[in-house]
Amino acid sequence: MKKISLLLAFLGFIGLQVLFAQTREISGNVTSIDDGSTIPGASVVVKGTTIGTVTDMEGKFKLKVAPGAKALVITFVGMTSTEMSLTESNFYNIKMATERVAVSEVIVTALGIKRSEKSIGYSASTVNNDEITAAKSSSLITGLQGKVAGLTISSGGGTGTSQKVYIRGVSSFTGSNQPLYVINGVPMQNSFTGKDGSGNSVDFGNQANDINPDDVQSVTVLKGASATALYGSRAANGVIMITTKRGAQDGKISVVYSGSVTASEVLRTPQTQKNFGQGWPYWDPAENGSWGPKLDGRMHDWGAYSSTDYGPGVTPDGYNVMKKPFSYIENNMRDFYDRGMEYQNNISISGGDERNSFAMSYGNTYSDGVIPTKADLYKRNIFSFRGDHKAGKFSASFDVSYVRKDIKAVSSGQGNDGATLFQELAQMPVDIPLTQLKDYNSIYHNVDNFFTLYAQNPYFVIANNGNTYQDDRVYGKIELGYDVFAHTKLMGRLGGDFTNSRQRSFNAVAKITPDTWNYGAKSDEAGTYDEYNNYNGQIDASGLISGDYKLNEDFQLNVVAGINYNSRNSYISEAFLYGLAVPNWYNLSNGFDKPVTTSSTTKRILIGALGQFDLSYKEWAFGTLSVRNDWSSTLPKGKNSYFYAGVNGAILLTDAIPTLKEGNFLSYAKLRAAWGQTGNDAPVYRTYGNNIPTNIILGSGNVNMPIGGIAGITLSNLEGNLNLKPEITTDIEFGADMKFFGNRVGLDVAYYMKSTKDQIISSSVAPETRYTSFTRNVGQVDNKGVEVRLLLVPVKTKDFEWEMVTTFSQNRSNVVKLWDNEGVSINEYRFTGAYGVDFVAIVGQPLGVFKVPQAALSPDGKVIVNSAGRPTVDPINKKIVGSREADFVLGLNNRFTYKGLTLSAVFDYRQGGKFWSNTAELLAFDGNSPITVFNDRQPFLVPNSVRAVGNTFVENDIPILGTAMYSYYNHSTNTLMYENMVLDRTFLKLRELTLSYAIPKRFITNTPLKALEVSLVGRNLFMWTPKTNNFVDPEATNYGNDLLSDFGEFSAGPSSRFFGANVKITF
Amino acid sequence: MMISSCDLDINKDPNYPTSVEADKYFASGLTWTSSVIGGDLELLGGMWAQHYAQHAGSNQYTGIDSYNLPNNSTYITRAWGSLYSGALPDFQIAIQKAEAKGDWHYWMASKIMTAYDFHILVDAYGDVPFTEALDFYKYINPKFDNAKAVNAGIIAMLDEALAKKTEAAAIAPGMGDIDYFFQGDIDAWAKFAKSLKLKILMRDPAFATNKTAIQALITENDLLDQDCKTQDYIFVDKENNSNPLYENDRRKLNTQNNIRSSSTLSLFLFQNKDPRAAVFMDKAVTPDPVYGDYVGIPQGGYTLGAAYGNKTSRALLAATDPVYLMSLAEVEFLKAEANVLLSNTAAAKTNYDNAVTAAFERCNGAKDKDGKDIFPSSFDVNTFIGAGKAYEFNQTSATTMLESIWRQKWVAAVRCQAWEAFCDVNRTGYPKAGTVNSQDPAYVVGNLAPSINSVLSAGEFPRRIIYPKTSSDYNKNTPIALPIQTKLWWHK
Repeated sequence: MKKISLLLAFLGFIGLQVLFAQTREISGNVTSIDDGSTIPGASVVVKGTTIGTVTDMEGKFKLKVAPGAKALVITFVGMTSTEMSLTESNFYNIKMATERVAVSEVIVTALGIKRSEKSIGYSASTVNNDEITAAKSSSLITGLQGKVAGLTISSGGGTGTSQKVYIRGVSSFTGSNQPLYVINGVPMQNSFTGKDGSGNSVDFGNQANDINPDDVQSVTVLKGASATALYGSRAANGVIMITTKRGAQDGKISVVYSGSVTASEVLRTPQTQKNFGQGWPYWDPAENGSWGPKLDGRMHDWGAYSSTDYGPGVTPDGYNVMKKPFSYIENNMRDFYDRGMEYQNNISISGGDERNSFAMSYGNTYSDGVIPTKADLYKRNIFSFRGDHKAGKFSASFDVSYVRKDIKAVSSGQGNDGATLFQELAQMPVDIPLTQLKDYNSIYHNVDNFFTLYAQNPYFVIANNGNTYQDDRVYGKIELGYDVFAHTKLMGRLGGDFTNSRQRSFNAVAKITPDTWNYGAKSDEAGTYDEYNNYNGQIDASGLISGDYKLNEDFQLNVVAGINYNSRNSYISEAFLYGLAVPNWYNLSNGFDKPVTTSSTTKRILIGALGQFDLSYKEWAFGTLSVRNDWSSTLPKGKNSYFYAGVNGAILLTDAIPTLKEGNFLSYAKLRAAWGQTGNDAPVYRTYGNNIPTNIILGSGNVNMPIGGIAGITLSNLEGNLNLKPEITTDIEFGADMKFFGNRVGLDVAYYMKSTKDQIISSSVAPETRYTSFTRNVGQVDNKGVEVRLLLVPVKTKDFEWEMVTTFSQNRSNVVKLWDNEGVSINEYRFTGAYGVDFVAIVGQPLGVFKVPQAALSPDGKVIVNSAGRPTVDPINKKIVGSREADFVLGLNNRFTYKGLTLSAVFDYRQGGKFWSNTAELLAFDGNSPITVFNDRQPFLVPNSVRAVGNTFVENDIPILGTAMYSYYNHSTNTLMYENMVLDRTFLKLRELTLSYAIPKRFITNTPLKALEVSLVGRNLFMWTPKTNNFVDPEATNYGNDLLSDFGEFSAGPSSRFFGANVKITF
Repeated sequence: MMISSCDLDINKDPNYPTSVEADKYFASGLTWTSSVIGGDLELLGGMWAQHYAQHAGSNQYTGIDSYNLPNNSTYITRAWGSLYSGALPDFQIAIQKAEAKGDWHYWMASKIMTAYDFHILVDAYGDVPFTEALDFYKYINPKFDNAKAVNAGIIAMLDEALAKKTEAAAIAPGMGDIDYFFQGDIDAWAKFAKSLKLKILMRDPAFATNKTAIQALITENDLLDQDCKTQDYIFVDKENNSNPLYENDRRKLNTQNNIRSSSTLSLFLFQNKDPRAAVFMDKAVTPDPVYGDYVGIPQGGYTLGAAYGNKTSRALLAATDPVYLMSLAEVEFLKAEANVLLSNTAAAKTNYDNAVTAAFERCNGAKDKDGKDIFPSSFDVNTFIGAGKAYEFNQTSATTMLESIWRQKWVAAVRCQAWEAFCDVNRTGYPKAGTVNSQDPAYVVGNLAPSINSVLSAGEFPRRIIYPKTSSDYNKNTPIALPIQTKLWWHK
């Protein structure tokens, strides 16, 4: 630190030397007309001379002018060149308008420092508010979908559910692969809230959704390590920098209201077969599948007490067996869902003068999703206030936002202690009219007499089993700045982010009355209630000193040095009650037993010291060096310090060699190169092993201690490690940014190679060592890829313009190595799996491949069948059937503007990759899937198969019988089925379609309105998937929002399409 | 800049205790062991010894019932993991802590439990890590010891434990309720250790090898005179505190139908009019001419259709069922077998009668889940073992005597020691392996029936649990997995 201070002082000294005398000193600032933001790096030249300067980081300039000077010419790439006549005043407020069809040229880089885009040697993409909010998604992140090359955003659920964001691929096995979200220079917490996994999962969203998109001025995506080194350990996966709107300093108050109403419908429900009805394999009124006879349309008994030799066969008094045709019901599952409605209201007030400005806003989102009733409900309120103050050398600003969310959601996945919705829906035979089950209290459809004993009435489920979530979050910052001396500024920033949340999950009591239809066969549900209270807090403090020095005519140096302190705390308390004494009363005191309670707390601290040096030559060559050292509490004592750095450079070819611009072909060309590293620390509490309460997991359920009043403590299966090192990601990037034909064509390409080493995981060890896993640094994962952004303006006339932006990204990951177990090279690491389908990392493969059980083969490679003619499983080896990784991702944005009318469409196309679908599996299991009508369910022989006779094999002559067809399509009795459930992830989605009209100013000149805009919006309107996936949205998942979620979906809910209208009024 | 590493020294997880005494680890080890014996092994043993079969209207255990378990199946990996990285490390720590403090009661009981767990492992998997097991920092790839050598090691371990009996018994107060098998009774622990020795010695098919040692144990007769089972206060009808198989199968799965009574068992009980059927299974919806009230499903008959399966009897399980590490009946049967082989026929008969009596007495006063009586509170077992009765000890020859013992031992193990029954089927060849399933007119009641959906060749039955993937992937010394039907060295 001392050294850095000395350096700064020295540089400051040089800075002072470059002043030289002239006649009159004028000053001023350059801002954008569009949003009031300052413009650094703009060139300010006295008209008709070569005398001039460039604006500093805050868009300010000082210039000595000769007495005869008449005007200033201000130019900046992407802005319309502006002239300002000189008067007697020594201060000039200069406003510049954005040149249409230009990339925003001001980039907010690390630490909130603004830089001219041209000076940056790495890939950084900025998206502005109008693009983000065009389709009126309540989520800021959704608004970025398809718009940035190299940024892959997946969101499978309804409003308020989480988004998965990958920048340049995935490398971390167990840590986060999500970018760091930074709002106005302060890192923001971005945890997934809810419960991921296969059982009773629920998604309450990730915390980056707690931003009101209307408050956002722009979002900049920093992709490479060179760009992110300054944010330290948490930025290894890239940074999403969010800059919010601030009050304009024009002495006026501006009020903006924006409101939208959108309806939603379920986008994709699984397609089912239409030929066979209820039964297993014969007609059976209690079955949950469609393995029965051919549908013949005849009137038929259905439901409880239907005449069959099954069950008691006695119809209780007052119960007439229901009748219906034995026919396929069109749109059965689709009709179960209803139309969702979503309302968004936002009001913002902003204003200010030279010294003070403010912006405040209130945003409200109310969304009732597609599940009938208000079982899925999302309410969000965001209040925010931002203020700025300037007094001479002193400046201060603060931001504060308060977020309150109230969410209701149904569980997905498999039901533990109570049924979940989507698995029940998938298990309804194709001839059972779903909507007729609505009256779940009636004698026909209640728990006692629901037609099938293998599933629960879906209407009962949505009315009785569910989850609620409520949180209160405050985040913001205070920032103070002081100009210590010329060109040198001190800045202190204190950020905080605090969330208190309360999750409740409940499953109703469902006891079956003796001597009813389902009695004795179906398990009673005892009823459960869970309270999960969580506090999550973060303090982030930085002290920075920055200088901005013109070394001489040609060289300019910017320096930033500082320290950062980050501490994160959490506190969790949870109480779970199994067995409710009084049904439908959800309270911890309502148990036969006391609730099982747990609590835990975590704390981690990260301290960093950082520096960044930017040197520019003649405004066309730029170089940046950034360095950082971190000290982390999660690494072993004495080994917790680590250093990393990044360098990058850019050359503005068109400025270096101005002749290139001749001929109106090339208008702008920049080449850039960057190298950088980012270190990352360990998850909290992984240096030591623990002694933990004994909770033993069985196939289903647990044996937990204390038991019978006896407490037990067991050695944790996970051993800690006192030799952990930080994980290091290194990346190299080359890129070019070019514009042609007067900005009618723009091409930005980047190529990167990224390598992550020594990542910290729980590595498996053989249980006979006494642990099952050991925390250690392992392996190397490489990612390389290409990102292209192509802008075309095929048509541009006075009134009509067609703009087309295509983003293309391709990432290839490779697991280079895992680890070595003293002589055993470990080549495989399992992330997760279900029913024998494994999601693993394998050396030499892309990160995240699917392995499925394979059939046992005879020596000549034929499938060995069992006595029922079905393939048998190879007990040892599984086969790889693809990876999670897409071949490429394409975003296609088209915008047509005619006068005030704008039509825009955003397509998102992902080619390739695989995912596992439990929905598809369940549908095959219960005979609803279209694949189950192969050969009209007539007997067939497994192709290319043999059966064993003693030690030899003979040609298989055992057909799969019609009556055993269900066993063929059941993965647990037929190995080959696993492969069918790993589906192609390809999709094309129309993410956004909007038509907006800005009412011409002349219509509102005599009203208080300054602007009025109306629009029709659609989101996720259409989705196309390959034929093999006619089941689910490939983005659907209930495994959270990181790598594990790429495994697929365990009966996750459907996604929705939204369409509606929006109005935006500016006063 | 100076950042002292002290400021950041906050990475010891504050949510867990730093120092714990032997008793907590000991209790934990008992629970891990019980969860394995009373959970997965009871299920595997139940299916493979043909007490139970998978229902035809549900799917949960089809892999087990067709002998189709890949090496990553949790039925294969869990027992291995729960014992090696659950129970055994806890006993290991308990032994270290107890030794440091002179808590010889915990020391002795933990040693015996360590021996017991290794015995289970070697019985299930064959050659297993023993000498290099449980020492992560020294052996990340523990070698697999020959199964026979492991048995010798277990015997030595039991002798070591027995040598501390005096010191252990002298400690007051004793282990009390924390020892939820014997409530601190050191004598009982010693008897258990000796009974376990007897059992292991009798694993060797060459009786002569261990004859002297067996004779010594029989002569000393300091063997279990009670069941080694979880005390009544342990498993209650409460979530996550119940009998493991019940918790898994009945409380947590959405259908309670999966485990049905196997025809092999039901036909045997029906043929002998054995009233214990009422304790082992539910009554069928309607009585059946072949089976009576208690109807079994043919082994592996899960593809016979739900309608068929629904007519069969569900296996009866209760949340409060204790887990048996060893039973009095088992020990008496072992003694009977030893006495037959030592040519003490009279003693063998006494042992046999005691064993069958103990097996019946276990059912006395049994109730169903609604509290209804399903078995009398006292039952005259002479109606079965008396002269000319169904289960009379057949003293015609050593073979018939052994057959009587093994048959009864197989029935006695229902709903308590199914894993042991499976081991005995392999060890003794009784019940005999039949060649046709129970639907075939040629089926002989009392024989094992080939599973209808068996993936094995005709005449083959499961013999072992194959090496789990969790071991073979990470331990370079894990032998190539031998198939499920491969005999262990002590199998017939």
